[in-house]
Amino acid sequence: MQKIDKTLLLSSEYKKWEESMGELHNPYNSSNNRYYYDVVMNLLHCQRGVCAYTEICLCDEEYYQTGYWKGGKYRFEKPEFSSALDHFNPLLKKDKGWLWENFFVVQKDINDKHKRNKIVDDILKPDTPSYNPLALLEYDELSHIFIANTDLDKSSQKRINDMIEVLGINLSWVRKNRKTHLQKIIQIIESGGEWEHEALRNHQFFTAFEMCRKKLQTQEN
Amino acid sequence: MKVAHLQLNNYNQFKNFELDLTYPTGHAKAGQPLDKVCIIGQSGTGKTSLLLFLKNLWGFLIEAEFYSDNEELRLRKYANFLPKEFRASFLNTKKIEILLSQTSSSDLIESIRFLKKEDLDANILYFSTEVELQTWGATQLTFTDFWFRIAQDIQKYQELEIQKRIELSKIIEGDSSNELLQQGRNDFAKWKQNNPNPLDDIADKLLDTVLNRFNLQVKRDLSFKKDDIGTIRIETLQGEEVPFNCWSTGTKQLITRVLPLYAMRPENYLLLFDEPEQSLYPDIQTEIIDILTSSRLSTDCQFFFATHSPLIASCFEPWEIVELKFNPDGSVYRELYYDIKKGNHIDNYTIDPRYLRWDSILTRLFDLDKDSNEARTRKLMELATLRSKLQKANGKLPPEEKVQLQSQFEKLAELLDWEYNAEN
Repeated sequence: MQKIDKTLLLSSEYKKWEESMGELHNPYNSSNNRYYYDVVMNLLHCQRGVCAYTEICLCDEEYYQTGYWKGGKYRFEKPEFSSALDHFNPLLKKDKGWLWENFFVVQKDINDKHKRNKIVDDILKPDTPSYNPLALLEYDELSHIFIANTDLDKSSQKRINDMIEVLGINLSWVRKNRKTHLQKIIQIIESGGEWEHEALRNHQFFTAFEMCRKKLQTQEN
Repeated sequence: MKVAHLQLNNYNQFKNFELDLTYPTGHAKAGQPLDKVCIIGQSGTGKTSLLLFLKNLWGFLIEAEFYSDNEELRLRKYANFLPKEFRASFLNTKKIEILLSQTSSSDLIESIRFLKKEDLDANILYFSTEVELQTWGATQLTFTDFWFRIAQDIQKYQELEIQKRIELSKIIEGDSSNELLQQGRNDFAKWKQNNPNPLDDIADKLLDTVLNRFNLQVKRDLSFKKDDIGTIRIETLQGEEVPFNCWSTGTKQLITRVLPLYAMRPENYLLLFDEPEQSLYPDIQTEIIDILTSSRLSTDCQFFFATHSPLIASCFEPWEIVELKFNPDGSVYRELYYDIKKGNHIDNYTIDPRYLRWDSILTRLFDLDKDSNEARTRKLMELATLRSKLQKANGKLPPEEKVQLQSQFEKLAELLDWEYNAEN
C-alpha cells in the first residue's frame, strides 16, 4: 500500500462546499451528488489510478490528467471503472460524510463486500504523514502476501497485520492478481529483459514490486 | 437426433438467449452437434429449466412422430408445455437438419406438418434429481420398471443355470462312468463360458469398481432361495447383504442411473442428467461422466448434464461447457471462453477445464473469488512472519531459539500444506 499524498486539491469547488458545511455534513449520498466524480477523479489522481489499499489498477492515466479540471471541477468524460469511494473510518460517515481526509477510492468489492464498516486503526492510513510502507510492511515473495515488518515490536506488528486484513490487501483474489502481475515482470528482470515497459503497460502493485526489486538487488549484490 | 442450436426468446430467465451447441472450427467434428454438454451456473440461472425445456420438446416430438391430423388437440397439449417463442435446430441420424420454430407469427404444429415423420427420430431419457424416478420418452418410470428388464435376463440365466446344474447332478448321482462324469462337467463349464452371467457383466464391467469403494459389491453367489432369482443384490465386501432400503444415497444414485442405461442400451437418444454428482464422493465424481457416457451403455447419444460440481465440469472440453450467468436485469447469458472478435475456433479458447487444477476450476469457471477460507490467509501471514524472522535470525539468535522458530515454521507449514520452494 503506497503512501498517498492528498494535498493537491484539483476539485477546489468540492472542497469549498465541504468546508462550508462546517461540523455537520449533509447526509452522504454518492449517487446523487454533484461533486461525487470531482472527489473520485481527484483521488485517483493522488492515488496514481490504483486502489488505495490493494493497488489494483482502477483507471487509466489519461482520465485523471490535471488538464481535465477547469474552474475547480472535473470536466472530462466519466470513465468506466469498478471502484467505490470508501470512508476510511466508517464512524465518520454519519456526520462527516464528505470529509476529504477520510476518503479513498478503492476497488468496488473491497468496499462493498470486504471492508464495509470494520473498525480501523490509523497505523495503516496511507495519507498520514507518518505512514511509510517500507518501514511498516514486508512482502513475502513466495506467498505474495504483505505482513508487518518483523523488526517492529509485537504490538505494532499485530496492529498492522489486523489492518492488512481489514483493508483486504491479502485477499486471495488480490493476491492472485498481484502474483500474476509481479511474476511476469520479475521473470523479465531475471532474464535481463526490459521490464520497464511491462511495468508501465499495466500500472499497479507499485509497493510489492518495489519490495521485490529491492530483494532482487540485494541478492545480486 | 441431436440438438445443434437453440434460441429462447422469452422463457423464464431466458430473454433472446441463443445457444450454439456445435463443435467449433478447428475441431475434428466442427459444425456437428456436441456429443455432450455440461451446463453450469449459479442457482436460479436456469440449468434445470434448460433440461426441462429439452425434455418437453422431445416429449412433443415423440408425440409428433405418431399423431394423425385428427389428433391435433392431443399434440397441442404437448406444445403448451413449450415456450411461446423459440427456435431449435437438430441433426437426425440421417444427418438431415431439422428446424423447428414457434413465434408469434409461426405455429409449431404448422411447422411440424412440413416435416416427414420418419425424420423425427426423437428418443429421450431424463434423469431428474429424484434418483428413483426417471422419464423415459414421455412416460415416468421408476427404477423398478427399468430393473424389470435386466431382472428378466438374469432370471432366464439363473433358471437355465439351475437346469444345467440339475442335469449335472443327475449324472453325478447316477451310476455314471468316469468318462460320462467328466463329459458332463466339461459341458457345464463350456455352457458357463458361452453364457456369461449378466450379473458378472454388471458387476465386473460397471458397478463393482465403484461399489468396492463403498465397501460393497454386487452379490453373485446363488443360494437357490426364491428371493435370489430376479433381483440385484448388494452385499458388503465382508459378505453381509445390504437390502435396498438400507442402500446409501450414493449407492442408489449410482445404481439407479447406470442400470436403466444398461437395461435399455439407448441408441440415438437425448440423455439428460440433473446433478449427476448428487451424493457421490469427489473421487467418484471424477469418474461418473466416463461411466455414464461409456459406449458399453449407449450408442451415438447426446448427453446434457446440469451440475454444480467442478469435478464434473473438469470432464468436458471447453466448448461443451454452457456457463449461465445473470445479466444486471436478471436475464441470463452464456459466458464464452473465447474472444468473440477472434471467432469460435478451438485455438481461441482461453479456458480448458480438462487442464485446470480443481481450485483453478473453482475460481475460473465457477467464479469463486477465494482460493481458501480467509482463515488460511491469516495463517499464511503467520508463516511469512516466521520465515522473515528466520531469514533475519542468521547469526543473531541463540541456536536453541532458532531451532524453536524453525520447528514452529515446519509445524505451521504442514498445517497449511505448504509446498517448499513452490509458490503456494
